[in-house]
Amino acid sequence: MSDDAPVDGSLDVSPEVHDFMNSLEYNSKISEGTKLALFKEQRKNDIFQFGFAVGYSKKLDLLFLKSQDRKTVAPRGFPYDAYRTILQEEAIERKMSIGGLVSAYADAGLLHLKQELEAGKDLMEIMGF
Amino acid sequence: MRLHYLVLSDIGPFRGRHVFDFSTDDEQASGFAFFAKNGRGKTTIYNAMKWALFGYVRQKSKLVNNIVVEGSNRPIVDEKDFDNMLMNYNAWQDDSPQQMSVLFIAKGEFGELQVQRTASCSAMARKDKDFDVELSVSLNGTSFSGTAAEEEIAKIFPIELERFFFIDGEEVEAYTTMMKSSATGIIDDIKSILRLPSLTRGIEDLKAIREGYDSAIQANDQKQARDARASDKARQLFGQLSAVRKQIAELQNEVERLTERKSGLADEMSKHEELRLYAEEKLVVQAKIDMLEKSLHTSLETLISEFSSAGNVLLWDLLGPRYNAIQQENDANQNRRFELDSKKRERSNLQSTIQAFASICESCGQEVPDAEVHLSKKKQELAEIEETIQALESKGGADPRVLRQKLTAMEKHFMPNAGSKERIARAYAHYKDQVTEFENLAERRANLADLVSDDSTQEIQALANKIAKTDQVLLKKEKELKDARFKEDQLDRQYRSAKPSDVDDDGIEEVFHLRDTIKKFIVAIQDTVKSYSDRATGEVQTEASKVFKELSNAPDAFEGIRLNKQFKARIYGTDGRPVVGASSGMEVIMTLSIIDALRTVSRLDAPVFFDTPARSLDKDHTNGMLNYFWRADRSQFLIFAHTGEFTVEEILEDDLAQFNKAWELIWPEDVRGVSCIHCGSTNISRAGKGKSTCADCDKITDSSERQTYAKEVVLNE
Repeated sequence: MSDDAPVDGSLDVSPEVHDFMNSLEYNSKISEGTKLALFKEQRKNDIFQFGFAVGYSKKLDLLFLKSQDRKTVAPRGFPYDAYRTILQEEAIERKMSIGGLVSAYADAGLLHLKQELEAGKDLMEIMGF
Repeated sequence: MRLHYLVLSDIGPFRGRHVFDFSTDDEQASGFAFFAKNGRGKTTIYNAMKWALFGYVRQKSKLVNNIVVEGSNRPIVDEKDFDNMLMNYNAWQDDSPQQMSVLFIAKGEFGELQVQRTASCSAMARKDKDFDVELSVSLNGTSFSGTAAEEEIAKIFPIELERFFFIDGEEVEAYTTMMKSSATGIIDDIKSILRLPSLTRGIEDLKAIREGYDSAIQANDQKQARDARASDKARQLFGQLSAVRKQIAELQNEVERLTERKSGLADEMSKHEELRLYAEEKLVVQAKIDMLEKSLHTSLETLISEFSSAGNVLLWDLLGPRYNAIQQENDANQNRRFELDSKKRERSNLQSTIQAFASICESCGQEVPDAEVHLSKKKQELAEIEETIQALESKGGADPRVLRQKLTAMEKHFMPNAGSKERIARAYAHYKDQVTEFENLAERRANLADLVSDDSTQEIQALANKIAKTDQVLLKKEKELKDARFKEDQLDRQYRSAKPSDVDDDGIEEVFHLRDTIKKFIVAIQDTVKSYSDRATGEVQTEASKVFKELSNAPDAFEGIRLNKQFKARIYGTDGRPVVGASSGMEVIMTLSIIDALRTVSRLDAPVFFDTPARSLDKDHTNGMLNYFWRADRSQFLIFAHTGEFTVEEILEDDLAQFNKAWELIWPEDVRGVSCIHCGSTNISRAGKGKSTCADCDKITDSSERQTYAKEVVLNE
């Protein structure tokens, strides 16, 4: 890796988004079937990557919210190299770490999703499926 | 039995119809005689009686090794031996239809008997089988024919007794030999006359009947054993059947009880009809919700599973084209590197060729004509390859490894599976539908909860449960009842099949009773046979001795005749010893005495026919015999005497005129030139060769005619 290459960086989201991520988790023993859940429990990493996909694919504006309240997403098993493949140039351009860039997109994507769902939009409509 | 009339028609030398009248004023008269020369028909009359009674006439029997061998039957007609045949020769030759018959009328304890046997043939008979032989019997006015007629005759004159009532003087000597040696034949005859065979036959018949009853009893025993086994099985089946019937009764009661209960519950339920409908709907809705909840969880899990690739689906809209571009760049790199490697190998080979060039063709091994030109050409080629290599190397491009890493990373982390998007959409739509349905049901449940309280629902539910449970139990019991009835039918059929049929105890008891009775009969008859045999032997011996002494010339010299158990006869002297060297005449008298004794003991009153009685006797014995047999208290005694044995004159002179009627059997030649054959008149005149005409009856006597005429002898008054 050259000296210009962006570092991996940490993964984190805003508390609001973190709460929203919890709401998307499903526990078959306690969850109601009528409450929409999209991921199995203990899969924050997957929700995080989904949020990135929403934000990145929709080219959402990055909020760059920096606060002490940022909630870390466990980076274990996060494929930095894979994301580097697609984000390196942008990270260099924005002078951000890979993790930072991914987090920004994920934060934006999940918040967008939350807002849209709360606004009564259908999931598939939101996703453009 | 006393013979009253005998009518012969066309038999032997008797042409036409000849009537012999044996009736006399004295019913006790016993003496009858026929006198004739040879061929005049003595034996014919003797045989005619046999034929009428038994349907056959045997030739004389022979004694072979002390055994009587019966002669064969004499034919009615015989083309080869006219003298041997029974039918009159002229009748056979001249008549059509041909007919021979014998008729006799007799009287006895049985009443009046008329027997007629006729052999007739409508054409010219050549053999006996051409004749129809008919027997007709009339007993006291009742007619019999065929087998029934034979049976009637057998009752009166058993065929076994033939030998003792038809005595042939020529066979007496043979009898004597047999009696002295106790040959088997005479034993059988003697047993016959004592009626022992009939008794023995009776025993055999009874034994056969008893065996029949034994078989019936044995069969009954076997049947009882079978019935016992069947009864066991039937009892077992009956037990099962009773149990099933009891079960059926219980089940019927149970079904009735449950039906009543169901009806009661239904009545109760009808009171809550409106509420019941809501309660039922509430239950149904709740049941649907419960079911849908489970289904929702499943749908959600499916959606979650499919949704795991949702992020990649979104990303790939951007990354897909980028991935394709990298792949194309990678492919171009690959091709350039391949071409570069190829050119480098080509360059290396060409360099080696130039260095090793020695003006010799590599292909044919011959010296190359223009070696310098060739070498120069090769060097030019090498220079071109160098240029190409430099051009390819100068193109550069991204590092293929880096490209590959990018591609791999994108494939592994961001490329979605084909159809993921559609599957996600489908799973989501299904899930949403279920959620909508669930929400609708939940709303309906809430509405129903307002209409019917949970207590009412529970109450109705409890009632419905009771009805359902009762219904379920009722169905179960009804099925059990149906099964039990089916089993009852099955067992009933098996029971009826296994149950032994009613035993006819009275029938088998009767069989037992009859068998025991027959056993007693058999023992009684066996005892009777033994006792009768012993007694009859004694009687025969006593009677024979009496007769023998009467017929003997020296009665005082003899004790009489003794018979052993085998009926071997011996003459005993007064000294109690058997007489040694008895004369043949004495032995013949012994035989006649025994025959007469047997006849007496048999208690059969029938005429005795004695052919050629004096053949084996001297004159004294003959006279003695005739005196004995022609006594007034005897049965009819018919002798058929040859004129060489007796003449009418001799008998009359010897004062043997104890007989009541006598006939002379004569041919015309016997009266030739003396008298008329028809009326006996001596007033005749010659009428040609061997012929004479009677002045009294105008009939012609033809001496060449060999036909017998019977002429009754006028006895002294």
